[in-house]
Amino acid sequence: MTTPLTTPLTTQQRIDAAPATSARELRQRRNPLLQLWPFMRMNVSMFMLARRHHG
Amino acid sequence: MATVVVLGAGVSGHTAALTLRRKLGRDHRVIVVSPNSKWNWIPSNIWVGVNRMPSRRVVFPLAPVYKRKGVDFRQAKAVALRPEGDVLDGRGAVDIVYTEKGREGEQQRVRYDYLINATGPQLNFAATPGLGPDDGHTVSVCTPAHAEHAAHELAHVIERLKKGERQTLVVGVGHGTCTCEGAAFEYAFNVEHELRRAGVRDLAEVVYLTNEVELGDFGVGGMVFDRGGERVTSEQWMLSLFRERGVKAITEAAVDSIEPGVIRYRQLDGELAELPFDFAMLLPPFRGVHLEAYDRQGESIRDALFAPSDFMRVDADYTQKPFAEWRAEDWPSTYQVPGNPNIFAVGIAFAPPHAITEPRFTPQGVAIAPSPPRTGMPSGAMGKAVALSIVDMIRAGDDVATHTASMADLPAACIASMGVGYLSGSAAAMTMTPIVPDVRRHPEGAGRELGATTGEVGLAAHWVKRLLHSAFLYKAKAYPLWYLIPE
Repeated sequence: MTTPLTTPLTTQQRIDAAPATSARELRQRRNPLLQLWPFMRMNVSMFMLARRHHG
Repeated sequence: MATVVVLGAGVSGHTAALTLRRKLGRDHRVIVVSPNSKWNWIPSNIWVGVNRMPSRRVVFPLAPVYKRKGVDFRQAKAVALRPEGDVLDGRGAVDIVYTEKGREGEQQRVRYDYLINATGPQLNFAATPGLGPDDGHTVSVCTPAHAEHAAHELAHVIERLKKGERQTLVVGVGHGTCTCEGAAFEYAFNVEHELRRAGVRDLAEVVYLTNEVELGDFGVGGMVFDRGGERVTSEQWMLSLFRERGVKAITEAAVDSIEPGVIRYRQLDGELAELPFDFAMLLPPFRGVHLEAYDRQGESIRDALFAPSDFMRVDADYTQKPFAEWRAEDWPSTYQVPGNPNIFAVGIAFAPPHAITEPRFTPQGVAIAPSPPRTGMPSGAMGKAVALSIVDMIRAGDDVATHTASMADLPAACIASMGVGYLSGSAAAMTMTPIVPDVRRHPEGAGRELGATTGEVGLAAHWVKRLLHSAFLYKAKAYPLWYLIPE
């Protein structure tokens, strides 16, 4: 019995096979109201990260 | 009274100069030597390059800021270091040549007690035949002028697309050893966003051409995120984003040469492949800024201070060893130059001990080896740490650096723009701790803290990117309480 040789996928093939972003997630990413909370969270977390390590 | 000379006024040098001036009394001198009259917030050059921000919004003149803060600014380029001084004076000195209008070519020898080399990169377009906007066939976004030129060329492409002509736009890196893949990624996605905005996306093919081993590597070996208990790699994340936006990608590529309309590149198999293009923005590899170095008698000591790449040797372990033996501790922490405790090199100017991503080679020996990124946040942190060490050294009168900023400890936050617009914009926000992975310390997150290594996409990240643009310009202009904004 022989083991079939497999060719690794190219990066483009991996892109084509990647999971598609759901419509719900796309809406969430683009909705200004829903993005207010991530905006505040990102600012605080990045500020804290920088202060903690660079202080 | 001590004199501190800072070579370079980019993120690292400017941060160091302002910190020194804030912490040192007026009886000490801070001298900044930079060939450029203006400071440039380089991350926003991306937006200049797609014609969404005028170049005047990413620069400001340095002289008024330094005058207000009491920093002696000399618009000149450094050409030689003399760590032992010369036969007339045993203090260290640096030879400079003025670039200031009206004083071009004037030479001066500046004495120092402490020296910070923050000269940044030499854009090495010559490494690849045909690369670059001056003598080549590609555009760049490395400087505001380059970005303006790129925007102009992009506008022509959009005009042709509007006439119904198909166009191929290639964005990426122009050599196997390039760094700053994140900036190339940003420009690719901003271009894609602008094509969509212009209503011509369907006729355009956007190709991301990179030396990364896989998408999401960014020259830092990729990242692993924890999403509600599920491990997601930066590659998986990027593959989905590229699919979502219809951007094609070629990885593990070393660009060999560029002729009008054709990029030639090699991948790991060594075969030469061709990629036709109508528009190409390819970043150049970096070298260090070339400086001569002499001992007191005028004999060259260049090789002792600089690596062949012109980057300066600091307190790193530069021993040649296999990839499997590389350690996080190899990376420098104080940025002191061995044997010269009063000289430091920070930002892009220091020689990294090795890459972060494992280098690969074609059968012909062509390196496909992303260089480690050391711009932005880590550059600022290094500049500040070195400035604080010098302040302590001056006060204590010794040569012990008291502050460290190893990339094996430092975190980094990167907001990669994917399109401009207060309501239509998007960006990928990434944080990682530390920058140089240490699998022994953090085995669970492929060398990084899982909780402090994150990735998120959305409009909010674009707002953060826009806010950082204003915040860092405010900080760089040294407006009131500037120092409260962290690096």
